Amino acid sequence: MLSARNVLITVEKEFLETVRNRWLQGFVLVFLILSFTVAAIAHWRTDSFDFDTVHRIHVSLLNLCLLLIPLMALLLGSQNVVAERADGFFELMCTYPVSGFQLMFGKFLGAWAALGTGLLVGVGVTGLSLALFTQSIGAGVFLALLVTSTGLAGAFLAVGMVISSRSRSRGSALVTALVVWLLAVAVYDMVLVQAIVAWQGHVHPLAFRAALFANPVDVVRVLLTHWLGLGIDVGTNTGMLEVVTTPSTASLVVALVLWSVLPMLVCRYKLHSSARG
Amino acid sequence: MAIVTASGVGVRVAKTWIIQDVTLSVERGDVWMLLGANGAGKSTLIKVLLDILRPDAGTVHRTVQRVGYVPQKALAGHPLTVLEMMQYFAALKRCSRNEMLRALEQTGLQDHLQVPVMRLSGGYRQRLSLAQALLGDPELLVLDEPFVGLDEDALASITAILDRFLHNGGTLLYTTHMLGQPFSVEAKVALMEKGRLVRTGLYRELLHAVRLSVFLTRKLGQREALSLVGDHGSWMDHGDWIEMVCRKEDLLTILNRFEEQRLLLDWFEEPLWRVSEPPERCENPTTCNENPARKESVC
Repeated sequence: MLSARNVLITVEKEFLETVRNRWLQGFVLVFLILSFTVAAIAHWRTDSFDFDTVHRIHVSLLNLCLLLIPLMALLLGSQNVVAERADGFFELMCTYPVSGFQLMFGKFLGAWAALGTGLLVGVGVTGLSLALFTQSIGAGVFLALLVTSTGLAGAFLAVGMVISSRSRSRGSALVTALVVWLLAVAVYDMVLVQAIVAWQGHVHPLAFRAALFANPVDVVRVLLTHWLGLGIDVGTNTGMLEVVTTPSTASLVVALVLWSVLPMLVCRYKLHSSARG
Repeated sequence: MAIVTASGVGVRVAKTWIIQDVTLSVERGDVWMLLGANGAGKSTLIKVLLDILRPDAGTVHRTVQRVGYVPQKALAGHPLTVLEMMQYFAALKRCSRNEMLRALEQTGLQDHLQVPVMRLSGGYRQRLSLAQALLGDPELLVLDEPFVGLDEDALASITAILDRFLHNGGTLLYTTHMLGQPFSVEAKVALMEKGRLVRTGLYRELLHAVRLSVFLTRKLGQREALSLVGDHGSWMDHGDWIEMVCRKEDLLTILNRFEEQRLLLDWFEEPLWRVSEPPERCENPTTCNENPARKESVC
């Protein structure tokens, strides 16, 4: 039974632990450096913060988010369970009045909240700084970026935790997480676009839409192009995906939420069976 | 009254039985020492008794609910401070702040509250592990290798805590691979070997039975050493030496085998074997006169 109290206790503990995680702190720092670099380069090339420059900054920040956030979430998630299993913490928890699902759900929410805080710092500071220099940066853009980035982080954190709960060592969890990241960020949409080029007209468009939903990176990419009107600037692949699959914004949001929920259901962690490993 | 009972318990991983056909009954107020070499199945048995692992054979019945557990290597990588970690444990066990502070004080951690757990030494980490186990007024404490890597101060401190726990009517079950680290001579000993419970009895009876430490592996190799011990004793491999536990009457048989092979005096310069019990009255003067070394140990 889901006891909210046990979940909240675990959320608090996991939040504190993840916020102190050096990977997360390093990620926020790298994100800040890269986002400021992007803004500085855009400004340096045009010597102004006109509409085109700001638009270019939006696109660059979006691509930065799509690249870094899955990586960070997967890394954090993939080490989350396997590390505590290695040091006997899960065994200890088996003797506590807390169920495996309460523990996993609390850990997920706590780590997600910490990641969200990191994103709030990373994206928020960048947005605030740019707002100070320009008058044309809307708060809505950064809010949309923050919300979708947090959703993306949740999806990949959940996937990372599934990897972690199924891995026998930290090393194998790390390698699996990196492979998943590479597939999701770099390989998947290339393959999908090639498939569209090859089979469009022969395959029902719903199949392509389903394929789009199968990768949260593409879901967020298309969702943000909808919301922010970034269009083809985000990338030719994204433009093609959007045109061919024509998903509604609501379906994209639902897909993103499902990506956070479904892995956690798969992950319904059985402490008893895992203690043996 | 038995508070934990295991009947014919077995745990299998793939096709290998990690523990097999273990039957054990822990009664209220008992001190049980699970003794055995690394890989003997002690930790696995503990996990089964605590319902962390489900047995593939046999049954476990536990009547107590309030159980404190100290795993072998818990909490190593946690960045939370000692206080934060204890607050987490106390919240899950629904313990008051006073109870938490008392557990911290009992284990001597009150001056380390703001130290991150990952920066604690092994001894203090063990204290923290014990502190969380003491939360919630446990009836049964289960400790997995609690004395490994502790210095004398930490050992004395933890022993004192456990003494208090037992004095208050608690039940204790702990594993160790060193016979020479008794918690109490009143302890009951369950000797495990290759996943099986090969002998149970009182610790002081085993002391009478004789502790024999033989520096054999370097010279003989395990197989030959074991062939000399035969069915008369159990053994634990400590790397460069083997610790054997056998009954006094079996010792003579084993020593005779050594003597037959002229191993006692010819092969070793160091004392071949040591006995931890105080000397007893000689029962066989003839044998003692023939072999001074044997006189020292057996008689």
